[in-house]
Amino acid sequence: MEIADKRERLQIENLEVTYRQNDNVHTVLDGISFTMYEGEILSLLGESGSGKSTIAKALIGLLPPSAAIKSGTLGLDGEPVIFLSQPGGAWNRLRGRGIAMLFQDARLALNPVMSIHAHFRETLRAHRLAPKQDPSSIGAGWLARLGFADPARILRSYPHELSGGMCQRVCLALALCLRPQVLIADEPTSALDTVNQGEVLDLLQSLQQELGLSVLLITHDLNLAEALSHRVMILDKGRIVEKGETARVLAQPKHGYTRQLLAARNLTSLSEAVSVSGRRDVPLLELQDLKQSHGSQRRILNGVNLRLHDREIIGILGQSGCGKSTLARCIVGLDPADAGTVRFRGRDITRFKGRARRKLARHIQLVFQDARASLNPRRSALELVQASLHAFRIGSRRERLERARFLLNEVGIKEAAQHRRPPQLSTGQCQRIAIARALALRPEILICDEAVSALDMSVQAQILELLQRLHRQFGFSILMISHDVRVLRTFCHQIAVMHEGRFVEQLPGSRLASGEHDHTRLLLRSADRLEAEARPASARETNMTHSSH
Amino acid sequence: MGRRLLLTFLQTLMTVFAASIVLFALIRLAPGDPAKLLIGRTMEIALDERTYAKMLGEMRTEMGLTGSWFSQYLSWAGSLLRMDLGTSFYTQRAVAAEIGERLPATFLLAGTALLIQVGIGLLIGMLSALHAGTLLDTLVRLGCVLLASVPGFVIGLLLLLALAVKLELYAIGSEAGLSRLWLPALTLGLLGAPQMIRVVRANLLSELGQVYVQSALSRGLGTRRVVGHAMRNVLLSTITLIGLSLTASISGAVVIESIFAWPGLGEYALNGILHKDYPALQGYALVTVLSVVGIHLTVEALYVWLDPRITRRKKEAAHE
Repeated sequence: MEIADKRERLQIENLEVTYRQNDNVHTVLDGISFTMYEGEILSLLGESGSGKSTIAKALIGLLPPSAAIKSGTLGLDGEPVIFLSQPGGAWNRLRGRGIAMLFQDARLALNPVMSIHAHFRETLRAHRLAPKQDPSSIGAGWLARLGFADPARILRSYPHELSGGMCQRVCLALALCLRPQVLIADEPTSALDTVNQGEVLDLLQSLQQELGLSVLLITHDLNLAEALSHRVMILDKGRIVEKGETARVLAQPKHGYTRQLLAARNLTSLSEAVSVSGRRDVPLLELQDLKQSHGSQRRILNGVNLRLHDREIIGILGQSGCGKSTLARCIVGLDPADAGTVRFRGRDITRFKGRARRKLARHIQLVFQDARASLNPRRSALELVQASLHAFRIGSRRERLERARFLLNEVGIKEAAQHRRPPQLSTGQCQRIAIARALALRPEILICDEAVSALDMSVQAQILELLQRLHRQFGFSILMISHDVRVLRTFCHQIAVMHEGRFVEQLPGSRLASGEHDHTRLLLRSADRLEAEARPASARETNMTHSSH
Repeated sequence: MGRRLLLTFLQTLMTVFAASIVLFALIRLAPGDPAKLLIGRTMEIALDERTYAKMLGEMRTEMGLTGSWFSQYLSWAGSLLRMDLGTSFYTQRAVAAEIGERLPATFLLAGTALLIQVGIGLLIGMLSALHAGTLLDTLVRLGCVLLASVPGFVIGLLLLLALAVKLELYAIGSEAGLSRLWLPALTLGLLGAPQMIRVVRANLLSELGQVYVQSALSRGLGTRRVVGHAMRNVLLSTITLIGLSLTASISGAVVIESIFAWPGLGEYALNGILHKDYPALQGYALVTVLSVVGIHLTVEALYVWLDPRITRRKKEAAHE
């Protein structure tokens, strides 16, 4: 961890970036200066909107046209200093070979109509690194270093044939094959499930040491930064408010914002207080031997059994691709089940169609992962919530408006924001609106499909707390689907662990750690590892109170 | 694969069958009696009522118009199976032969027009997208609106006036051949171009905003290469439009063909309508239906061939 005697690799001085929106110009980055040393991992921490990604894009020259670099210099080891505010092709020399970048969603970072081989060929040719006839041996070599057992097959593949984790490893290989000095990794694992996450991070770390690469790790995940990085920088509203050795900053945060971030990470057992009462003999929702295959050979759901009672919160834990979302879609009838039954209050609703299916929407509501995409971008928050009431002809026009106002207030969308449309609101606010919309019909069951996975840690905590409060207030049951052990452990009465289309184990939330099935253990291990690695480094602040915002 | 092919074939057959019934009925629903038309108004006035009625009856029998629609359809469909489209009321020649003579001209015109349209669309659309927001882009968009809002025959006549009459670059009266092809093709191509330009522009703009473009740039690929990457995706989404345009040119060339006296199917159809020539119209409509279905099938096949996401089924499990 000693870096004092290392060579300086990258120096950024006084970077200022502004964005133009309509006629307003606002400053996104203000006086950013930092140095990166050879072979270090430097984490850049901050919530979304703090300007993290803008730094990444400014360093590699990919800012959108609406952004302008007002001042700033970039000094890369062995290169003349670049004045970032001057337009022109300074990047052509640096991109790829000087500074490389890893994107959040690797699946999107690869061209869908090009094979992996074509990606390597184009990349190597652009830098005249490959003999014309055979870029594949270089590609295969790097893929092998990134843990692919059969590089030749990967080279022949297209992006859609690979999993998210595999795509990210391919992207890493593509970046590293140019031997860059600095790698910017912008949330490289937030789109992956925990198992893949661990894999990619391990590789990143070991290769970084091997190659003496400097990595700028941009993340909102404190645990990740703590486990991987030598130093951290905390970014708030476009300024670096604190920087230093990771252990020091996280153990003794000096700035108030850093403390706030640290507080948000501990989702301490919020659900312990909630007691399960009024359990009846007939469960609210009962799944029996549910099967679904999407018409293909492979079964997505392979006999799922579950009983959800009144006021109960059940978590469904599993890796991506295990069938969690399909299960949610089967319950509400978006995907028809091949076999098995779904019972709501004892009534078989599996084959409900048309009007009957529509009526069920009053009882079962779904909240999606991508809140922004699940809201019509042309409707204001108020209109969105009223729409579902209108669909069932509930109340008069005025009553609907009042109920929408009330609900939006309940979920923390204040008067001023109620007239805004989704593009003008943050992702967290969008998810609040989606929840308000789901609750407008007073459903008995709320299904949350990865409802907080796309959100920042601190926002995640807020939304979970909100759900909990609403659950106490309105008394509905929740089916909480997530890949994140931390989210479920603290939130659910029961957790069902899903693997390859079936539940392998069901446990009370508080006793998840005592799970016995191999897959449960695997999920727990990969989730715990980052925390466990980080824990000794800093004393944790526990049981922080959460602002009920 | 074999099953899917068979299924597609059966679907196609059903489509053609249904279309043949509709076109057969529609042609007969139109007002007017072909037998009367053929005998002519002079005879109706000259002859006394009984002789005229007798003559009309004989004519109808000869033309095969006496039975019910159902039996008429059966006999038409029966001869269809023998590749016989019937005999034209008007010219007394085999419809199949007449269409056979004119089909190449229409296909040649539509094909050339498509090439022009795609060429203009890709080039201008790309330029417009790469210079989005500039004066050039604005002018292109303005031009598109203008071109799209003027009726086709007006553009055709204007071009004819300018190029054939004023500049004398185009000899309208000469023998129909390759030298006469370019102006009608240009007109048809220009008509389809605005749509093409707009689709290419919009698609390229959206592709350039994708992460894979940023990712390619971050690996140091030059602008030209990156635009090339994006264009591959744009082309894929443009294939549908190309197919639609081709069907539009084939079925909609009637007006342009008659303006430029191009001896294609359009002119044939026009004559067929004027003379209530049932067999000719049926033949024309059937050939149009067949080419539309054929083009759609080709587009689908092209998709499967060009898009790896359709061609190659997901082979790998999610994890190694």
